[in-house]
Parts: sequence; C-alpha cells; structure tokens
Amino acid sequence: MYDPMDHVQVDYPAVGTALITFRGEHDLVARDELRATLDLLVEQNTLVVADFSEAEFVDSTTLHALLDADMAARMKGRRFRLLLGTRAIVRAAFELSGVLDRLDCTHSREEALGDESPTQFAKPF
Amino acid sequence: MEPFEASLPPDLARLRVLRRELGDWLDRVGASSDQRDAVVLAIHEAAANAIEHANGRVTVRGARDEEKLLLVVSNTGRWKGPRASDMGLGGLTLMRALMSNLEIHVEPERTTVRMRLDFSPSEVHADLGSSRVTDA
Repeated sequence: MYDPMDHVQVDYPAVGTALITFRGEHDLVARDELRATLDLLVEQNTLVVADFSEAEFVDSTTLHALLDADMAARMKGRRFRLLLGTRAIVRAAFELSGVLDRLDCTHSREEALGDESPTQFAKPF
Repeated sequence: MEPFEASLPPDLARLRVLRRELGDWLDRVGASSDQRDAVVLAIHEAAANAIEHANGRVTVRGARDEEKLLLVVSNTGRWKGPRASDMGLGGLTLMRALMSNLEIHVEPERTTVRMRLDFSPSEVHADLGSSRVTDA
C-alpha cells in the first residue's frame, strides 16, 4: 500500500538543523503524520528546512501543515525555511494559495541551510 | 470525445488513484501540461473535501466541450462537517485560482462543485477567475 510518509526523509546536516525532504505526492492521507513530524523537528531544532524540490504533488492540507510549522517556529524564535524546485504544479500550489508569500523561500540547499537570512522575507500574518 | 466519470468510496487513499485516472483522461482529451496539473489539483481539493466532510460516495465527472473543460464533483449523503461554503480556505483558494469558473451548490443531502477551465493556455493561472457559492 502506498504510504506518503515513505516519501519523506529527515536528515540532520548540522547540530540543531533538520532537513526534511519531500519526494513524490503529499496529500491529506498523511496529514497527521506530517504534522507530528514537523512539530517534533521544530521542537528539537533551531533551523528546519522543508525541501520540496523533488516533490510531485502537494495539496492544501500539506500547505496548512507547513504554515503551522512556520508559526510554531516563529513563536519559539526558530527558523523555518522552504526550498522549492521547478515542478509546475507544486510551485503553483504554493504560489496560488498565498503560502509562498508567508514562508521564507530559498533557491538552493546551500542558501536554505546557511546562516544568512533568505533574500525573500516572510510577510507577517 | 469520451467523458470522464469516477465514483469513489469515502476513502482518502482513493484520491491518489483519482489523480492518476483523471490525469490520463486529460492527456487523452488534449489538455496541456499546465491544464492537466490545474484540473488534477482542483479536482483533488474538491473530492478530498467531499470525502472528508460528507459520507457516501463521491462522483467526479468531466467533459471537454470544444474550447473548455467542464468538471463536476458531487457527493451524496448528509454533510457532516463544515458547510461547503466554509471549505478550507487553502483548498477553496486553490480551486478559485486554478479554474476559470467555480460554483458550489449545497443542499441538505448533496453538495455539487462545478468547475470550468477555458481551453486556452493563456487563461490558466491568469487570475483568480470567478466563483460563486450557494447554500440551498
């Protein structure tokens, strides 16, 4: 049976930094597991990077989970960054929902994991 | 040109199959890659909402009518969650943005979401389109 969470990989490239990579399709079937994973990463790290450069589909529940993780990170004084690829439907979902404007979006893994703040700052809620 | 029709049980895991089958049909009726993506995402959002908040089967129908795609997502059974007009902001926002026109009609035992995508590449993602929500 297809398990969307099988398409999520978490790495720790530095102390206090978590990189969660999304591959394949992500929808509300794995919403609860995704939220739990993001909550834990934000709780335990000072920087969380969500890499969607290899994702093929995201829906609104996935986007909501990311917004909530970003909010949780802000409230704890931590950073949550997004890395997007070129897959049109994934980029469209982020753009058309307005989520892209709310998250710190980076353009490379190096930028996302770096100490410098991203060039595009998030708008306040 | 062959229409599309799918009847889904109230099982979220079936959405992935729906996306596959709908995408294959869109390829057969000549949709561009952008149009295919837009319709698959919009229909996913409508069907997911129907499965999550209603009970009973969800029906998805699609047809190409010359220069436009017409799509309908309907569910039978009592609506047990938020009303369709309160559909999750993200999902409704996406559907409005992706489609040329969106109408949601809510009845006590049935909700119907009608979408139209004009078959012109320049109109996909061009604006927020138009939408209407009616509660019976």
